[in-house]
Amino acid sequence: MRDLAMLRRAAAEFFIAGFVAPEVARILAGTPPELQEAARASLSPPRTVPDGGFVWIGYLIWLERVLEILDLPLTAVEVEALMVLKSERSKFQAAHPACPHCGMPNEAHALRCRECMGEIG
Amino acid sequence: MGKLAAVPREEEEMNTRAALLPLDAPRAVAFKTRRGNFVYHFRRLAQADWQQFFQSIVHQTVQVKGAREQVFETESALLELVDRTVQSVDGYGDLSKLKDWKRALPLQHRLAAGIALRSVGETASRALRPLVCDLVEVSLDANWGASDGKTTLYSGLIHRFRNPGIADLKRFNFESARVRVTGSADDGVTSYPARQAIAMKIYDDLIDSVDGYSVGGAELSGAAEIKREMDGAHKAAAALALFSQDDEITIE
Repeated sequence: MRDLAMLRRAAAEFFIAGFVAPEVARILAGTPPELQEAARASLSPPRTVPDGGFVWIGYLIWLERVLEILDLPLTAVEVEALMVLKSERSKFQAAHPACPHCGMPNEAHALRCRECMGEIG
Repeated sequence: MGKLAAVPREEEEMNTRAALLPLDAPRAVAFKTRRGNFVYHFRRLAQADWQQFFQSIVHQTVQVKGAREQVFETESALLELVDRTVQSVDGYGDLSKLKDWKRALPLQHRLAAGIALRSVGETASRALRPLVCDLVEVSLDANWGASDGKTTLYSGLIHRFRNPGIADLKRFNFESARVRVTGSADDGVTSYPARQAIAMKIYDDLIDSVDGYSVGGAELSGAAEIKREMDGAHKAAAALALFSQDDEITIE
């Protein structure tokens, strides 16, 4: 995927989806099986980018993990895409600081952690 | 890897062979319907036939104004494969007066023959492989040929691979993720690559040895001969099984 603008949007949506995923999972756990599909669709943040963007994000996340433990030759496309992913992760982390108690990301304005309920700030 | 989607499905209607699968023997698919028994005879399928088949499979996600639709279509690719490679058929009487006898064959019969041609998959029930070894073993079951009006099932076809390195895994993941997006970011079509076509290439890089196949009456051996002679669908099935993870891990 060479469309870096689309990749940027996909990365932003990917991180938001990960942010809300624990809450969605908690709600789905208490939802009857026949309603889960509809519940998941209504609770999950909308995806505005073609699925191809998320397939590429999945590959980049895998690649990032591998690069933490060993060196691999990369193509220019991979390097550019990894830079976009890193930049979007930094933006997400700035808008969602980690809880000092449990490390889970929270909204920047949150007073209590949504995961451990500990006080923030 | 799915189970065999073969016609006929009933195992008692098939011949099960322990003999070597003859890669270069004339290939046939037999099936029966309420109208009678039919046999399709094919020329040998080349690597290029399989490449073309896999690349003709349509796997897309179409996104229009936020709504998504999955498209997965193999029938056209199967029909193309059959029409390109079938040489004669039994069971339909005299076809010599037809202008285009291949196109005159019933659509469902051509599809059934195509499904049988590509019916190869990882052996469903088999003993666990050794966890640590120099070569990784994959076992396949496949339909191949027909005798006495019945399709023959070959079971336990062994493919041994060198352990994939991280570069091999990266190549497989990279190629699998090389989707094509057309249209705009808001209303786009994502076309997924044919993983089988990728797997066929990776097979050639990693294969070490096989059991259960023959060419010219002799057992297939040596990496060079295997790369040259092995059927493309078997290459793809074996390589995809190599990269599939089926071991559930629980941290205790």
